[in-house]
Amino acid sequence: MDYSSFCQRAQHDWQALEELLERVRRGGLNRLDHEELERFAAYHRRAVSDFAYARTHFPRTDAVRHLRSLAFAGHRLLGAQHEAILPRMREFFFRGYRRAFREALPALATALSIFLGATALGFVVTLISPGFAALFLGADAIENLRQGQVWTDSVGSIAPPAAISGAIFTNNMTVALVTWLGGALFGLLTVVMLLNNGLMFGSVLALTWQYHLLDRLLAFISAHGPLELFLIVVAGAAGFQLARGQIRAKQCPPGVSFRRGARRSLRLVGGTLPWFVLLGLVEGFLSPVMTISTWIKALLGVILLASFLAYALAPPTGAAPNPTASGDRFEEIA
Amino acid sequence: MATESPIGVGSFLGALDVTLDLPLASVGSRGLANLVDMLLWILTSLFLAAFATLATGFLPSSAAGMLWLIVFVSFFLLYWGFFSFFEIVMDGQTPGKRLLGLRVVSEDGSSAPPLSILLRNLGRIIDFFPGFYGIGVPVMILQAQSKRVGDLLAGTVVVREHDLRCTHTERKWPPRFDASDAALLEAYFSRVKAMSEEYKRALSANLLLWLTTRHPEFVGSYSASEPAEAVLARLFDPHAMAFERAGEDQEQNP
Repeated sequence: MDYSSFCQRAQHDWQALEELLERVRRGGLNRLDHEELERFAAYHRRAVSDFAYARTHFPRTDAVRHLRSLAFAGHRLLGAQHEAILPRMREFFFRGYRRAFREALPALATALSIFLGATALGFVVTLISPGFAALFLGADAIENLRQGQVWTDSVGSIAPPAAISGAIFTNNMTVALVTWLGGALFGLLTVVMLLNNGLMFGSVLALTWQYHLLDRLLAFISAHGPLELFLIVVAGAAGFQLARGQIRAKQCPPGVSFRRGARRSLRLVGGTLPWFVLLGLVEGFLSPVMTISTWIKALLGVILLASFLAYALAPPTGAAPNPTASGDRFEEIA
Repeated sequence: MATESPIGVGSFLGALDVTLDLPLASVGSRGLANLVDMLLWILTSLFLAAFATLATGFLPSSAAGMLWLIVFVSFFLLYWGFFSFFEIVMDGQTPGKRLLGLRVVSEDGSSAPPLSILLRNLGRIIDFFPGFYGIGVPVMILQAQSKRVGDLLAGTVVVREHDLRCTHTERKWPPRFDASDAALLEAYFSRVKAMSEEYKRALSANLLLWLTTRHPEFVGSYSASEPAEAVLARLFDPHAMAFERAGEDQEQNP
């Protein structure tokens, strides 16, 4: 068959496919009714087979380029995965997240011990040599502490509580995201973030204790502090999962193992981040109020941490998601 | 295609087990697209900041708290979700990518699902580390499919759709023209607008000489005084009256 008659023969089908493609591009596959969808698939197969023929017999012609673009557009749009958002969210928060949390428990133990170790180290070193704290806190902050001012005292007076909440929870989410994603540098940045946060926390505790300000610090942090620090540690665990996928490729190509680590840890972080919003509200509206007794705040802090753990460690409920929707075909085999 | 190197080409297994080979976007075009997006991103941030500062002046202090809550959340979303938002809404494109004809797809060539898009754009923070894509650019250069860390995390590639944009017009080619002649003329006319007059004259004369060498019957269909560009344009005309005459002339004066 020569080039002209090849084009002439199929031109009509290509045009029909182009029109359908344009409609799907604008409104998605859902816009097509059953009959149109079948026609779309049939025209697509036709275009793909024409493309294969043209590539062999009429190389480098416009028809090949045109057919390649048609075949690719059809391939892309027919392969798109469509899922209902709400059932997927429910499935995630009651099943997916809890499973991810259970899988992450070993990594969580590692992250927690690094953080607590760094806190203890920061505390002890600052007691022995107070100059150490200047590395993290800056000389000004230490001078203020020496004069008996805790910066947390002023939090309530500088801005309205809603603004503080917003600033705090977005900042905490950023810290959590960086701690997690830092795992993609072979876990290095995750370790640095955990160490940094631990050392800083430890040395602040030591300094305020030395200057007899610990009670005022605790009055501020005990409501939101326990869960907030724990959630950062959870983000650290997610970072380690990411790093593990990068370093230990068992029985599957390195790319696949990296991707699997990424998806696992995305689940872990995705379910953790919403808690920062709640904590931000507590930190903006409750923590700066010094008339509430520290004991009540501490009780609230324990309740927050306990309810997070109760939620995360509860047995996963609900049906398993459709395996074909997971998007990672290798994962089903492995 | 045999003439193309497998580096920089994505092969996806399509329907009927046909491989769809597509050019992948490399550092240069993606960097340019990113520059456009960054500019848009900075402008949006500045606009938001200016709006918030102005609005605080007009609002009572009780409402200002809520306003700043909204502003902080918007900045957070802008910082982490700017690229993801566009890529989810525009099916794998941002304004910059659309301008340069790039598109994000899954490794199998299908539309990238929202979760993958989220992952690849969260991974941007690693690619950008320690500044100006200090990790992303070397990784993209070393990786055969020009993936950055975010693409590796999400299992996505960026294809150059710009190269696919091609309108094909059906033409009636002369009876003895084969696909290689057609491809030659198609390639010439796809570039002719960008050529200088001088270059166009020289190239079209060469092309016409080549075509008449291959198809001697075509000699009689134009006069020597007619510029070569015009003859080629007549050849390329979809209604292709030139060829019928070329065939007739050959029969009349053998």
